[in-house]
Amino acid sequence: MADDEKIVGIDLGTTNSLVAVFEPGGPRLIPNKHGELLTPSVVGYDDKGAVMVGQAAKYRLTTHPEKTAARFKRHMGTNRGISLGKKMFRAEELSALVLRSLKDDAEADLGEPINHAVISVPAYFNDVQRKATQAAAELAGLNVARLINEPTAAALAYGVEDRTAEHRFLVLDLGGGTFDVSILEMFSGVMEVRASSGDAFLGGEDFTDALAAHFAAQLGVKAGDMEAEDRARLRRLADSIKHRLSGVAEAKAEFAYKKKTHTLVCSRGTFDEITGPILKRLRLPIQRAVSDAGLRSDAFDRIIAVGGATRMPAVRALATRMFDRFPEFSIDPDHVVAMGAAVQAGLAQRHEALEDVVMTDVAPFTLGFETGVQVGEHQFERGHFSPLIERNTVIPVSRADTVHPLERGQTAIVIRVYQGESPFVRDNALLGSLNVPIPYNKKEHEAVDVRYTYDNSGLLEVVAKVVSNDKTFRLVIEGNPGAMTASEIAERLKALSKLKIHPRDKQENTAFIARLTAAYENCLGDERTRIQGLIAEFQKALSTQDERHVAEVRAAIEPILSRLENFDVL
Amino acid sequence: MSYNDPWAVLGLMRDGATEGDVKAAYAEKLKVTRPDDDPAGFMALRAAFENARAQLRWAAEDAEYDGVEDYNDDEAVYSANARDSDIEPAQQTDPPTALRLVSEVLEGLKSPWVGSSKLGINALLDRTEADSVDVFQSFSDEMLYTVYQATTTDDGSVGIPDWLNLTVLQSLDDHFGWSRQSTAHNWSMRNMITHLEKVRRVLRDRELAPRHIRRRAHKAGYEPPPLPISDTRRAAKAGKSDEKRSISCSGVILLILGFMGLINLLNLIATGQ
Repeated sequence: MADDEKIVGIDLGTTNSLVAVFEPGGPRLIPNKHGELLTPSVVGYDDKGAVMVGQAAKYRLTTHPEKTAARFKRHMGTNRGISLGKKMFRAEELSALVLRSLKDDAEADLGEPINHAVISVPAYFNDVQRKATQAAAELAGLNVARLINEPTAAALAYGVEDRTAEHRFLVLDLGGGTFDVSILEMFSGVMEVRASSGDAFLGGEDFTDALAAHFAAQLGVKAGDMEAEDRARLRRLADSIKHRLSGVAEAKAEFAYKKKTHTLVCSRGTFDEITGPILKRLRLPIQRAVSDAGLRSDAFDRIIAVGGATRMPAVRALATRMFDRFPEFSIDPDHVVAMGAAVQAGLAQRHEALEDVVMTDVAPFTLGFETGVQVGEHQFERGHFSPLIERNTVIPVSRADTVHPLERGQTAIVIRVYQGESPFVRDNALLGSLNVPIPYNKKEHEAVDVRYTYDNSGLLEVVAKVVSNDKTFRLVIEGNPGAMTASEIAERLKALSKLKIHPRDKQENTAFIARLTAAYENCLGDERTRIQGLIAEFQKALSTQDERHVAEVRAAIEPILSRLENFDVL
Repeated sequence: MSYNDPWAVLGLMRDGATEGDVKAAYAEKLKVTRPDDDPAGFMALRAAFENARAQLRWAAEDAEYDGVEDYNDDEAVYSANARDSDIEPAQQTDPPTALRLVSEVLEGLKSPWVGSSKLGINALLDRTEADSVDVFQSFSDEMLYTVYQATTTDDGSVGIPDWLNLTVLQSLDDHFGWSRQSTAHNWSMRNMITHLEKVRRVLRDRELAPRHIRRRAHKAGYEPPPLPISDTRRAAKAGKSDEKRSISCSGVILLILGFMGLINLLNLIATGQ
């Protein structure tokens, strides 16, 4: 990397993604083509088979659900295929398309090619999910300068504001799909993570799902039995009601279903009741982090709420009850992670404004390997977990241990690498296994040195060395269901480069048509006719191919459409 | 890795150094030994930092215990979670509230309406008094300790009190997240959680045993009264696969115990000679 090349910070979210850059005045968010800071993490095909990313695709989520994909971050590091039209994609590939779109926005804004990025991941992402994120960046033509944990990024964004203070932070990060808790301490410019914990499958989207299921029940159907388009529309409506309920006590919306218009109502009380079981799951990760750090609630100087879902009053109320004070959110909870990632990018570039800041992070899981325990002369009980790097150990870290074969004369040792907290491997996650051939030795036990190294992105390397002949073996994560191999990445890269990308400068108009169509489908009667008129008007403007005229018409139609879209019947 | 004197690495004098000095020295050295640029140097610095802090902590603890005559066993449980207690130990917070909550839960479990339904137990556990993180933590520790004590007999085997059944144990574990807790740093916690696993096995064997066996045992005065029929069926249905595993597990355990006994015996004979 050339010294003067810029590194951007990227928040690759479940619902929305952002890109930011560090400048002398501090981190700055980069707007996308539509002038917005948030790019929805949605990918879809347009009618001509070209790929669209962001707002345009998001509007088509309700009109063309089979050609659009969202919330794929939840499937990072799994083999689950996500179908888009007739093709199947991996979550890494879809994420790569989002990353590429952010890269294009950053290049357009900064006027120079961008090849390096700091990308944020949930602190509770495991090794497979982290490697998947790295693979996605590679597919997008970005080199990952470093992965940064989302709550750590948030604390960095808050910490650089006042870097001489001694602070103890507790960061609650409830995003679209994941929940993280981190406890950080700042002293003399050192930002140190002390403990982190979380739930990789708990987020704002779960609250939306619960509300959508509640509405479906009101309509007398199961959400699963609805047509894909109706389901997508209902979900979008539930999402909008969820957002509005953060501000008002009751929200209503109209929903056209089976040729009838239904009025769906939800009060905040009902919402809290429906989502109570989800809310309850927030407590234990918080307790665990606090207890791991060995702290009491009054030891925290600041409780920081991060992630769009912390806007929900019930989430804030829970945090308030748990810590006897209100959580802070002076930086927009949707923006703070991207800004922190930009600060980390500034640190990686050795920006002079950040000379006196250093950040250290911890490993979120315990790492170890499977061992057998001798229970008789030639009998062993397998399945025991021997930890080598304990969770919440400061990274980078490197630990070694010596293992022996169970029997003399054994010619190979299999080292199965696990991650987790249970004393038995059956309850922990298998990361990979390493087959180490050892020389035949009937007289004595051979020895193998196993070294685990956790780098500062939270990525793992395992090296085994046979003591008697100095041969070394490296862990290759293969046969692991979630991980992509290097050759697979190369192959996918070729396939991705063949994809037709929707022209960037036309995305704005496509998004607008998609939005009009979505509104059309959601209305009935007179409103429908009005929207039809708007569509015709806009199509006419488009046919002139006069960019300025199109923009004028779009600006004129926009307020009318917004009014029609606001389903409120109050 | 060879052992380096942490004080030399930090450039401090051992005598009279305080926690603040150690932190400041670490922060200063860290600025020129960044984890991104010099991972090996950073690891050495970090090890020195942690060792120096540990030494200070031990010294402080020694000084404290010199003045304490009577060491209270129960205290060990409260502070069991204070692993990295260099900052502030997680001491017992508001134990009166926690103790009261625990006794109320026990009282509630004894009532016939609550004892066998998950909903009823959850209602007992969901208390606004336990909303604060600190009270919740004490509540959790007290409850775990109570269950541990109530299920341990004098000879060290597992005993089951009247108010405990599989549903109760599972609800408690779900609510407090005991078995999902990391126990690597804390032997007393690990000990209690391993014990809970044993209790779970005993309960599973009892509750899933055929009805006539349990009734016979009950007549002989060993066992708690049989569950209502519907509950037994449901439990049997839900736990079918578990039953098999627990049988094979207990087989393995018997084997281990047997061998351990044998080894002990051999050792005794060897040392006797």
